[in-house]
Amino acid sequence: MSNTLLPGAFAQLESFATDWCIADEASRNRKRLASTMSEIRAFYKAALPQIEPIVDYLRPKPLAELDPQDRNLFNLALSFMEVAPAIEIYFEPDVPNSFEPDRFKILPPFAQTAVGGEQHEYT
Amino acid sequence: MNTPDAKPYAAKFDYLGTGPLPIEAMVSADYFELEREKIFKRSWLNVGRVEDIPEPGDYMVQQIDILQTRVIIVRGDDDQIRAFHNVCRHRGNEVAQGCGNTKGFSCDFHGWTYDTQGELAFVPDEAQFFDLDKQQMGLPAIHCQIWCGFIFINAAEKPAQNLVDYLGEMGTQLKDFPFETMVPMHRLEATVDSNWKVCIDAFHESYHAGFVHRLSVGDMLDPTGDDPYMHLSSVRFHGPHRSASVPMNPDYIAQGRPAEALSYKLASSLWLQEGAMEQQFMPGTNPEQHEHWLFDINVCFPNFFIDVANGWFFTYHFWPIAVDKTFWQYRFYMLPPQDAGEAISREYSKLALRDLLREDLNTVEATQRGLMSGAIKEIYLSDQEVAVRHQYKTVDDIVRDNT
Repeated sequence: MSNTLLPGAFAQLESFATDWCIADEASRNRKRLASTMSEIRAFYKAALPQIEPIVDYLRPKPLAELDPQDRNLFNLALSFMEVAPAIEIYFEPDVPNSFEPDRFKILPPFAQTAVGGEQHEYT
Repeated sequence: MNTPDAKPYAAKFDYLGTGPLPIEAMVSADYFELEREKIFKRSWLNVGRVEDIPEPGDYMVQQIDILQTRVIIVRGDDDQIRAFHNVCRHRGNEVAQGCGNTKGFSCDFHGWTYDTQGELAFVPDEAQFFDLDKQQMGLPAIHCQIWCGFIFINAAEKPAQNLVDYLGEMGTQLKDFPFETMVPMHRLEATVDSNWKVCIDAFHESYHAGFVHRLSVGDMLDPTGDDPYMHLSSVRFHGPHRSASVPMNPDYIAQGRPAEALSYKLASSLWLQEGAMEQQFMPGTNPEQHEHWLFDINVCFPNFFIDVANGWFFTYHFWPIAVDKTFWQYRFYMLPPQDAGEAISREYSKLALRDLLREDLNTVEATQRGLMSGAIKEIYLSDQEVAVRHQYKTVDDIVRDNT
């Protein structure tokens, strides 16, 4: 097992892995908003041509059973979709003239929080 | 097909009139209290879906300010979903917090314990009480009914109608949509400094799209074509509920948006619908069978949206807190991704909608500030904003007992 974050076939993205292999949507959004356009553009330009190869590589693997490197790769592709609107639509990291991000909660689907939610003790 | 100059709705819905609307309903605290008593305490209100509490013993507590209560929604050990006020019969303390799975609800104050069907199961030191009839002392129930997997509650002592009759033709239009085949992708929440109806008004007309969403929707609008303002394709009112169909631009190709093009190539995209004319529309959608159809806006009165499209739907809840404050919830559902390609594709659609919603929420706060300033006494509505007109007429008739 190598000590890289990403599978060997995607070594050219390894330098972006520390920043962009992020496991949840809210954290990916925070990272986008905290980045400069040149940081976002560098990641976007490197990742764009790799998304289809990433999909081809991951497609045969059951999503729920990805090993840590493959999971990182998947999360990196989701980060690409997170930053894409900054490049393609808004031309700045955040959405201009929009509701303040600190007041806008991004949450996982309900079923996930219910499973991990507070357990009420029955006595 | 829309013709830009036609005003189809004024004649079709002549009872709504065409004049300006007074702003009292948007800014008056007295009016807000009447809405609480006459609308929210008597209407069927959605509190989620059956999949939110899938297993016996699963529960969630929701604070519903407009009902001045916290509600426990629980799937009992008999698999039936019920709703209760989160209020102990003993001295009124709360018995549940958050969400989770439980065998029952035990009050932290003195240990009174209720089972998952709401029955009072155990009273510590019971012999010290006088004439307790435990069978009559379950958690205070709230009427709870299910429609197409959506859980609704009604805080009235005796609701005027059952849920299916309440939803009426709105329910008929939507009931065959395959809600149960789709999975939640994420939830969004915000407390918005705006009246609940002013919030809703930003989400049931398409006139704003070319302005609020000029960057995000962009080429979806076709300024050189025959529908430069993205006129609604059709509008339906089902009693207090309302529904409108939104068109797509058939020439949209996501130019300059490689991520969206990729999303479409990998699975399906939110907006990009090349070849959509040949595809079957899902049941419960596009009731007037428009050729260039994007999605339907469906508003279940008073505060719940179920917007449906081919392969996805989302809900909004607009929970009034004060005349100028609303708790907004959004849930987005899509067909479950079968592999990494579909999952990565769906992420684009999910995030495109999320970013666009922040444009809307910003606008409604600015609108409320303007209304509260007292600078204007009335608002002016185009034929395209007929749903706005329908909302105020429906609310006002109830508030003033004109029904």
